[in-house]
Amino acid sequence: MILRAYVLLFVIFLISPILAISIGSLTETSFVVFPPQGISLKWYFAALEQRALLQSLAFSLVLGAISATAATVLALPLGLAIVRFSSRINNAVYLLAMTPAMLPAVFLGLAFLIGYSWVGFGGSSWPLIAAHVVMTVPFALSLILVGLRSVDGSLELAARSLGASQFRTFVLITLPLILWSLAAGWGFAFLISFGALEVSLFLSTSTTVTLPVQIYTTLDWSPLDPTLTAISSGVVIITLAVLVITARTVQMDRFLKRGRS
Amino acid sequence: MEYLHVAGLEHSYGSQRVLENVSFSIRAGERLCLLGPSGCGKTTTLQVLAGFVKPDRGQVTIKGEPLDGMPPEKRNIGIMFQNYALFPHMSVFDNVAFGLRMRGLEKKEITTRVGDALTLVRLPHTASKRPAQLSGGEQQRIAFARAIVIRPRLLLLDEPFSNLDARLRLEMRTELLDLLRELDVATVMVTHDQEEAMAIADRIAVMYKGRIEQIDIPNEVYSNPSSLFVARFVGETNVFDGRAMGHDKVMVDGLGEFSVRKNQSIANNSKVKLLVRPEHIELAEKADMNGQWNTVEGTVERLLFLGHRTEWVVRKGEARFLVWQSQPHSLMRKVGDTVTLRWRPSDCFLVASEHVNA
Repeated sequence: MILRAYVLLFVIFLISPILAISIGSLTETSFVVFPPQGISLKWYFAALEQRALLQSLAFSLVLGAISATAATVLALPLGLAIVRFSSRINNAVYLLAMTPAMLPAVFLGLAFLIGYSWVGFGGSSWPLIAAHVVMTVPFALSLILVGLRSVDGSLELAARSLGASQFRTFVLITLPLILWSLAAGWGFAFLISFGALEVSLFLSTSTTVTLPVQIYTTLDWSPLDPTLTAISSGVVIITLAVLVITARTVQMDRFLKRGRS
Repeated sequence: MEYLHVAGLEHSYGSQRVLENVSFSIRAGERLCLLGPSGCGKTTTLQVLAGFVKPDRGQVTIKGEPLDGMPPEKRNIGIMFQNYALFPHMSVFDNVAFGLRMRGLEKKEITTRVGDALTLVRLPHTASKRPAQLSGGEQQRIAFARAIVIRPRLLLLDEPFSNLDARLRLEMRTELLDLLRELDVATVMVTHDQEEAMAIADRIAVMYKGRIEQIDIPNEVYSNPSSLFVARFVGETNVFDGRAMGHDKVMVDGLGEFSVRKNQSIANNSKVKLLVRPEHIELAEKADMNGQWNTVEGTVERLLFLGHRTEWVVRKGEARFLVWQSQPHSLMRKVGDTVTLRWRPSDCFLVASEHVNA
């Protein structure tokens, strides 16, 4: 009973700011207020008219997709190496790949800024993409590792004994069985990239403004602009969509696992 | 005529030796069972045959052709895994067809051969199902179909019954034996269950600590174990310490002198173990004095009625005898009563104490 009440309070604590933003965005006033006065979608339409905001949203979506894809593609062979050969070097590689997820994002952003300007990348969108890839690899990798570790090794041996080469075994057996973890890893990498502020702040240029950076800078000018709440609740919806799709694919795996036992 | 020949396998994992000079050969169509406790090297031997483990030393040949260094996919060896290892994302048909597709066979032939294999294991109606939709016994039959549809040169069975419940286990044992006889394929099976081994195998290789202790037909392994370990692992045995007197007599500490089956390899006056199987000991009305039987008088310490047999523990001094009576005995005895035990000299034997490993 007490535990139930605790969980309920915890959920309310987590969800109330998000609900406040979403409900607040329905206000008719030209400033953010809670509870909203009147109900209208006018700030959503207003958001649709702000080109800078929409451009940054589009840029964030593309950036998220590119970095999530790159992170997944990079993490897969890394994960394979870590699972198949447990050497000291692979252990070190694993820890190295995971560090961006643990370091404070501000220092990471600063490090990227200095590093990439040093190499001479400054001013283009490459540093931003590269930084987002580095930042999202840990999330893709950890999910892919879960996937790879859940594959029963005897399935691969069975395929080999039936005449499949190592490569065909990977394509026909391993890959289909870890597809869910690739999708989930991609989803999480995308969300991390999509929501990242600190690192992007350091690396954004006038042409490469991500949505969080745009919201952050707008907030500086007009802190009570309800357009921001409208776009924020829009983002919440995108995030929830990605999470639900990811959760669905993970559930698929549970079905498969039941089949194995 | 030798079909599969394994010579001098040696293997270590790190500092741990798992195979020590493992050698055996089997004839075409013969079924050999590697029997032993976990960690005895039986599974490693199977993995060497499959090509999953490269041994430090030793050679495997099939019909004279060496398999050394040949990757598993080139060996044409069918394997039924302990957990069946059915591909969960494929239908039963695709599972069984997998090996044939890897061989690049024509679609029509694949369909025919998969159909035949599924009919053989009496599961033709499951072709479109997923493995998860099948029962444990059905999964095992599909795993068997998948392993033999490629017409393997050698069939490997890894603990084939360990994932089934007791009743199904007995059923699948006879079924698998029938299938193996019908297919007449050379088979190496691994198990820790002596009953399974005796039921399925033409010959049994009892393994212990990476070595083959004894390799022989099931009846010989049971009746003539070469060591204390084999005697204890294959069936229950009463073991008593003693000293050999000639080749067919033994003096057991605290029990007296007994006649035993002749064993020429036992040196006179050497330390030995006297072994008697519990089912060979009878409860007698009175001591038989004509010398045909070995007899001991003792006290009933425990009595267990198990349905198909009654288990007695009879004590004399420090020694305890385990006795199995299959018939409800006419003697109505209670715990604490005095009974006479007797067994034939031909039913007991000596093993030397020196190479005792158990």
